Amino acid sequence: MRRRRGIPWLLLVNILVYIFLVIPVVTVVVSSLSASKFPDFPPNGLGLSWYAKALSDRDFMTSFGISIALAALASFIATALGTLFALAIVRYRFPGRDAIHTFVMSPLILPHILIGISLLQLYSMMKLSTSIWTLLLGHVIIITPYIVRLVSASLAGFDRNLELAARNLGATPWQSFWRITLPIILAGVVAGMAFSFILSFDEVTMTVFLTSPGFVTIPVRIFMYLEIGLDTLIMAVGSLMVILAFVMMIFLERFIGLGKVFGIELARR
Amino acid sequence: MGEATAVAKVAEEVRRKKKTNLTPLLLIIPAGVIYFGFFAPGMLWGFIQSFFRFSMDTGVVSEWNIENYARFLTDPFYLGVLWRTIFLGIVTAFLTLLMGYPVAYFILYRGGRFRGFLVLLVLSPLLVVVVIRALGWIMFLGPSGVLNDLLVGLNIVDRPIKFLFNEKGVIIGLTHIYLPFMVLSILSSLQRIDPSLVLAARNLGASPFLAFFRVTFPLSLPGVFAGVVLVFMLSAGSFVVPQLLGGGKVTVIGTFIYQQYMMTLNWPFGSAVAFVLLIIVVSGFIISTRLLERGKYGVVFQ
Repeated sequence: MRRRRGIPWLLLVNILVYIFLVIPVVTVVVSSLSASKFPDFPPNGLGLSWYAKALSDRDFMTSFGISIALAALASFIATALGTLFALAIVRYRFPGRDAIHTFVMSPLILPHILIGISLLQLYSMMKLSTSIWTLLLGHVIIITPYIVRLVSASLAGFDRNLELAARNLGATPWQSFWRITLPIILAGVVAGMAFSFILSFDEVTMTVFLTSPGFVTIPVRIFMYLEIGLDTLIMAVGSLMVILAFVMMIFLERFIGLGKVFGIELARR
Repeated sequence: MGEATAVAKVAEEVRRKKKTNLTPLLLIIPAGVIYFGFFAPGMLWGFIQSFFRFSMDTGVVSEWNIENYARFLTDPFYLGVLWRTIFLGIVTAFLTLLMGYPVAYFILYRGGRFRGFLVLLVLSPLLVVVVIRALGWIMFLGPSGVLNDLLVGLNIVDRPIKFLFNEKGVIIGLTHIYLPFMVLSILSSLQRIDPSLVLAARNLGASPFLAFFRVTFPLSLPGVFAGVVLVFMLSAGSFVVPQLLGGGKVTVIGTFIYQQYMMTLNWPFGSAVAFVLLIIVVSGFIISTRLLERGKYGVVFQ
């Protein structure tokens, strides 16, 4: 295409949008470098002392550990449940299939706040006190549909003759699943697992209803802290979370592809 | 003849075997336990509770009535909350579209070898938890934040503009967190357009402008609709951003439910409001599905 002269409007708009996208992230990192108790932008005195305080803050560190454990456990369970469920839905026809499928996928469009209060009321009726297990259940409910969706997509493009060939050569159904099916859909499964981990790690809207004082995830802890006020400590915590996100981004991009995790693959042209 | 019956017999046997195949059941059970054992009863119990009565002295009483719904849908204050939620959802969807379309278009058609990098740039904010991004906006938009320092310093305004703790802040925050989803939706739709169609339009003498508005844009409408509805649904159900950037001064359905559960402790009322939210979200979803179907045919038959 020939380039037109004049102001490159499209490029200009794009630059502005990308600036908009990075503004809050950059702001957090820069203001965390302040030496004073209350953050200012740009900081007057520079210092890393708040990082040391953040890293030795027991509440934040505990919550961080809880969040990682919860997200790892939830995404692992959801991946197992979701993969099996996707296999049933894609491979078999049985009565009630569509209804069951729709129901399990419904958390994709339901507001998380509705799921949060519903579970809260259920637990309170059952006299269940909130713990890691009640929270885990909520997270699994929210993230499993994403796994089902990604794995179903992988299964849809799957050549079943490969499995038949394995069976003809004497493999048991179990062997053909582990040796043929799983390795082929593994990319989809892993992408789903990574996505559901991110989702679970970030979840506040439902989680805030299901936490107990002794068991608070890191985003909920930050949320509660921000409802009271704002200081440089929380900026340092935020900045550490940004660094973590950056490491995660490089890791995901290197091994899976970030686009794949979020369900977009650009065709080569 | 005998051969045919034998084949039919075998086919019949296979069919019967398939009928009694327990594999799908076994595959579904693990997820089924979670969804039918907890999720379904939870939703049902929440729905039932929304018809209960609550008062400060008696707590929740199981007297069936539709007062909770009636109160929310008639009181001007509560209707204001409802309207504000829908309004913020629509504005956010519109703004993300306005910002997301040029980005998606640029990535696909002008990205060149930076395409992968630009996608990475659009997606990377999603890895930073929402509360931290909200925190960044609080710092940036505050009365002595960067933006106001800049505006006052450049003499564009003489007094700091109040961006925070009002609808402006909430809209900025919502637009920021949902923009990547809009870009993804439009991008996947643009990607499905056959590039030769645009070339054909250009060969037939259409200006780039005309080719875009008559070919590319109409063909990308499914992604636009899907993105708009997705962002609307997410914003309507949002809670964290309105709570933090609204600072308790912008009440939307999400923050209202939170208040009912955490402060007023009127669970039945909060539950009723949550189901009103469900109706808004689901109707948005249904309308979009219809529009999408019609839109698709409209494009095909143009």
